[in-house]
Amino acid sequence: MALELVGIRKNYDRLEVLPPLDLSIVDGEFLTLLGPSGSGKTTVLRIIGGFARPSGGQLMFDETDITDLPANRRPFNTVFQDYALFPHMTVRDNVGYGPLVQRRDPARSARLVSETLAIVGLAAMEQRYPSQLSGGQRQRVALARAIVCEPKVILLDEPLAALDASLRRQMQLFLKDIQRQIKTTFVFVTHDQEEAITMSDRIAVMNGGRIEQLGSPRDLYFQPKTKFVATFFGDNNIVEGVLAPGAGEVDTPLGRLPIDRRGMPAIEGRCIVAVRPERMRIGGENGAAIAGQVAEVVFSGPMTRILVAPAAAPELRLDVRLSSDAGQPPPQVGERVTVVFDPSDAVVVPG
Amino acid sequence: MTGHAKRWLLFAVVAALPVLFILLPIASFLITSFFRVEGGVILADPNLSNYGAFFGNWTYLGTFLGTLWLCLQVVLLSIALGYPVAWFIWRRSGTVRYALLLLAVMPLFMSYIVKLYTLRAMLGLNGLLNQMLVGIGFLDGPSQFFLFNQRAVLITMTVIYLPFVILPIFLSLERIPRGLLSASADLGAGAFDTFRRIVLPLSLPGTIAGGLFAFVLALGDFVTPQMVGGTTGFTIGRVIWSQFGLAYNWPFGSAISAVLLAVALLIIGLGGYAASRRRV
Ligand SMILES: Nc1ncnc2c1ncn2[C@@H]1O[C@H](COP(=O)(O)OP(=O)(O)OP(=O)(O)O)[C@@H](O)[C@H]1O
Ligand SMILES: [Mg+2]
Repeated sequence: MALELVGIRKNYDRLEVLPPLDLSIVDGEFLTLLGPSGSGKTTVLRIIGGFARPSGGQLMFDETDITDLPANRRPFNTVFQDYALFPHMTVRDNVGYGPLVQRRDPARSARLVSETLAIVGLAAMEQRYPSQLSGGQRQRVALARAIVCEPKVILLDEPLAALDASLRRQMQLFLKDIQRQIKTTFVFVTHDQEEAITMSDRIAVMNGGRIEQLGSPRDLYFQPKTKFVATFFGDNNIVEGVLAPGAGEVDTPLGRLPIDRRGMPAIEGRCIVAVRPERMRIGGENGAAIAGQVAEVVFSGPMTRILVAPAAAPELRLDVRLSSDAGQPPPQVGERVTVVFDPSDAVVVPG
Repeated sequence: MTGHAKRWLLFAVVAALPVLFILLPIASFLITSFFRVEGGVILADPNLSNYGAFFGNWTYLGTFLGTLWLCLQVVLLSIALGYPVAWFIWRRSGTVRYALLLLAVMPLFMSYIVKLYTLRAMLGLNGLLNQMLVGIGFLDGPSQFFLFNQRAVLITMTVIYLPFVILPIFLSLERIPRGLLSASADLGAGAFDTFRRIVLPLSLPGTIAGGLFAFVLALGDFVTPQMVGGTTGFTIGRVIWSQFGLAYNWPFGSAISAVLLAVALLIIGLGGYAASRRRV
């Protein structure tokens, strides 16, 4: 265990931002803190970085307590959300700042700075000032400035938030690639679940200062444990229902739906049934069937999205994703259809 | 009226004030500086005799250079005192910070003359300064050291212009994003490195601006030397004042003012250039 948060709390005056929180971060992993605005992601990161003091609890790194170690003596480096590049220094001086103030050997540092600039693809721009760079380039400088210090952990607070969509995707792959190369632990903050899924080894979903669920992207996607995770994480068809003890069926406004209880926690009473849009089909046998009428058809390239108004509850919409097929046109708006899903694809969480 | 004409009218009105109250007076004294006086009457026949008299006479030139040196000392001293004060205020937070800031700029709202008299009283033989120095045993008896000489002018000007130096330095410190300080600490810098490599260079433009304020204000100040300078605290401001007020030689006074203006503009230009070369 490389980095461990043990019962870390944070209060601002009387406002409790983090209730006691435990989190173990494994050496070399890419861990993402994912959650809506105000859920405490930045607070956790600032506590790890040493920029905020926890109100209680302990921060352990390789079995030593570093709760009281000041930021400049922690072997961690941060990539700040607004980059925080030094405006009066060139790209090279920005990147060389860490080794300089840490009084590292100048010759070796110079070599390391050059290498790092090459890794992030900025060797040709080392004499420019931050104001002369694009957003993506500044981002790379911020990253280079952190990794040149050879930290044990790199903390990144929504580093891609300011970039446009295509650059963002490009930088996601780039970051992941860098992380694989330098084999350093990354703790990454984002509120974009798609970003979290593509980049992370593990994701901690945060809500109101608590970690709702911690697991691999696959775990969170296919086995959400709470209603919050089921709704927040990826698109989902959600319907409330009541589950009789031991029963294999849930009573919902859409009728009685069969579910597969194997591998599910023993829950009863009020619950939420969630089915991924791409696990639903139009027509066919075997499984739960819901009759309805097509309300909308949206073609979006590889997938076609079909919104169906169930006959039992016409105000709801079922979201169905079919892969687009040139030979077979999708159903028409107004057409009566049956939406079918496999009971084992339905996830039930306490409501 | 067409929109075009309206815009011109508006421009004329807006431009009228500075032209009327700043450019015209300057033009007028620049022109006057080429005239001469004979029998108490200003004669409008253009010549360079005033400038010749100024640069040809060591009394004037020496006083002028002495005044520049004095102003430079005021600048250095007020930055040396003002920077730590501005920095200290900047490091506070919340109410304390704004209370301190208000306190630091409060003297700006007080009458210049009142401040001068107060300082004169403090620096004099029975003044607070002497009493304190005698009180702590540093001096055996009250000293004439602090009043009616160059030193008195230096001390008084520094004290009076200090708020003009503190304010721009504070503002430039305030403009430094806090994130840069976190980033510096994050990269391993201690407080001193962060100050030397981040805070100091980024607050340099404000420091230069403050220094320029002090310099220009001190250069044009003829009241302070008059009040606390005695006979040795003679400055070029007093010379100009006496040309206008006593000798009634307005053309010569104007010529010295013109030289003063040129030097002030040169210094402001140099300072501005130095400040703009920092990338902030
Ligand atoms: N200095 C502060 N004083 C008081 N409350 C604060 C302070 N900093 C943060 N908070 C509160 O703590 C909570 C968590 O903030 P935090 O910045 O960690 O959220 P976040 O998950 O990073 O959100 P975002 O996605 O918007 O950046 C918020 O409710 C915020 O209002
Ligand atoms: Mg945040």
